[in-house]
Amino acid sequence: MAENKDKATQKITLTSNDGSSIEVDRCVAERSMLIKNLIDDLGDDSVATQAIPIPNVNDPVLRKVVEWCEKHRSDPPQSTEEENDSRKKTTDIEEWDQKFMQVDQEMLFEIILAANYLDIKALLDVGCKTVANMIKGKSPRRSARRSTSRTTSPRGLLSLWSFFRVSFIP
Amino acid sequence: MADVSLATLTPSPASLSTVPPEILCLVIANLDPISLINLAQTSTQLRILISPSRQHFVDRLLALELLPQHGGIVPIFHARENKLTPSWSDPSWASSKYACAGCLKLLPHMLFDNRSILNLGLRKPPPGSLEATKLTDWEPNYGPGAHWRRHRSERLAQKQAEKVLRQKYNSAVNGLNRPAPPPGQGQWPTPPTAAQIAEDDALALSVEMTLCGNARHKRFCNECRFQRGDFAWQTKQLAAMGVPVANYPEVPIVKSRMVHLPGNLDRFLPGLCGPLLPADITKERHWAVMRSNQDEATTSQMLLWTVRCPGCQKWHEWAAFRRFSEKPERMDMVYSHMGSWPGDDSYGDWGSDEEDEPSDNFVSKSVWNPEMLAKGWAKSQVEFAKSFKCNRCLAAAQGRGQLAQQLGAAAAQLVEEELMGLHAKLRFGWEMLDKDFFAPGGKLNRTKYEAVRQEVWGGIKWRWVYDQLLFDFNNTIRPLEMDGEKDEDADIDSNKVLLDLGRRLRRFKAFIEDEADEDDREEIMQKWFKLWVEDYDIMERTLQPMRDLLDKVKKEPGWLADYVLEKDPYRIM
Repeated sequence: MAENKDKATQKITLTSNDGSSIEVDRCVAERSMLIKNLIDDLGDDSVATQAIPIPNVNDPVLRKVVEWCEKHRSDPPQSTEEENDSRKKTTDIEEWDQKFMQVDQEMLFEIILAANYLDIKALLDVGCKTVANMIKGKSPRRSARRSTSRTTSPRGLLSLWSFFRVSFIP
Repeated sequence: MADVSLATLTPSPASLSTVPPEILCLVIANLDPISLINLAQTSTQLRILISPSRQHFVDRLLALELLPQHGGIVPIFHARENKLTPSWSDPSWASSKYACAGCLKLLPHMLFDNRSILNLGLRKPPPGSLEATKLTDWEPNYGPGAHWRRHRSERLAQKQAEKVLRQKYNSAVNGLNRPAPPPGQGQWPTPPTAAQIAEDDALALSVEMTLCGNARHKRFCNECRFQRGDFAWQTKQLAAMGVPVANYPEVPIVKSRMVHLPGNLDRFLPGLCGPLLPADITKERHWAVMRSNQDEATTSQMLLWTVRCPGCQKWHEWAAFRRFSEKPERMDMVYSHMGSWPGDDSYGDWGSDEEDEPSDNFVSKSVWNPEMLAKGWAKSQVEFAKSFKCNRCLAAAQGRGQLAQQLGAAAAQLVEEELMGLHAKLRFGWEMLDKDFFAPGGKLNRTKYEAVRQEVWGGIKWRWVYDQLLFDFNNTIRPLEMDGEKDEDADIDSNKVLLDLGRRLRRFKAFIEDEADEDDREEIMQKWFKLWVEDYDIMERTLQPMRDLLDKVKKEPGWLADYVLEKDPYRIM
């Protein structure tokens, strides 16, 4: 029991892609399935002595993600039944999360990408719901403005195309 | 052409178009049905990714009908109390629209039958219910049939849960949750306690919030149902009896709303009085006309029917149908068929052997009573039913002038009927006053109240008032007749007489309120007479505008044609 508590409060260092480090409790870091699996694979000792690199996430975004994980450190895991019941699906977001997501669009999408990379499903859900709520009530013209960046992104189009090819072409 | 390679591409700022497709799919799955289609219309890529199906368009339409700007009101039906809020007669229904899953349109509510509007699964879900807040069921295409396989397995589980909920709902609505009485303690269960009633209310509400509107994708308008052959049972029934019904399905009739209306004038020419009568009178008129007919009720209930015109193939309320007759003065509206609808046996002798020819009740009977058809007139009945056409079709066929003439005759009859009712009520009170209160042996002590009696009664020629003024629908002034002799000098204006009567009534009111003894007041102000005294002013003020209306429909019927033709054909009420 005491060992588990020690583990939860064990400090872990995360390093963003621009080299800055953030020290967090282990239970906070383990909100990320990526980090949790990594710790499981490497063992407790190795993460206690070494920083974990997060190469796809920069410092401001990583700090935001850590802030969210700190807030939700004791949340229970989402049940699979709730996930699968499409009728009970809503876009209701907790008040704290709403305020947390009040950032500029670029940061919002960076958080979503980070949540996706770090495999934090709850944060990814909150991010996607926030974007969905932003789209709601907009006409196609206004949605188009939101969905496309000012300059056409060939990378985006390429990724979409590869997705379509996989999804729709037998 | 510039050489573009992947190496030269710079990462663009994160946005919806640059996020990985799987994240885009997560965002899309969190949209509501309206936003899903909106997003699909923003770009080719998103259209291909979302690839909306017909079901998604239906879902969008069902979501749109819940928005006030598109679908109007969301009525609440309390099954426990069998109460609809707002009631059918409320003006807010005029803008109410419902989605048809067949033609994918938002249509006026009158183009749907009652079941499509009130059934638990088909009605509009109230705000905050599961169905009203539902998101799209879109999901990425993981191969042919994947979505439907998952949907089917989910649906089976849902159906089981819904079945249990429906059973609970029926029990709560019908009060079946009460345990049966113990043996030997009577046949009927004990009346529910307040706590049990509250429990049933809560249960019914919670089930409504869960199930309400979850079958709306099966809601079809009358026209779609007609096209699908839902009304074929009528034809089959007739054909089984050997009736030639080749053209019969062209005139299907569907039972519609039960509305509160003040009278036949509003039933068959809805809205006609509105612009002609002052607003306060329009409102009060309903009260005055109907209150004495039905205790504590301002109006009477009337059933509406929607009929598919065989000419323009559009659905109209029965009142929009008429048939031209050779006698233009005859009121040739469906009005004459009042009371001849199915279930009403008051016209039981119609179609009997005594009748020489089909009566005007023919069309309604022929539609709904195949037994009548079997008795005879079968061929002519079908022709007769087909001869009824909506205002527009008849104006196109016969001309606007003919239509106006027919409408004028019909409207005059309706206004006269209303005036007759109004006059009867006016007369009723004066007669009561005369008979019960001031005649010898009446309820009031004549000697005691002689002075008041003189003030209220004195110096008026009552017979003339009864027989001429209050019976005369028009504004024409007839010479006063007394004892069979015409009093040519009597220059009496009917309006002046009405004013005089009003003055006398006010004097009587003052007497009742301030001068009469308590016991006498209670004796006098009985049910009907009390209503008469209270509503006299309204009836008096309604009389003149109604007389003007009668003059107008008789002298210039042209505007009636404009009135019926300029009305939105789908705007029935």
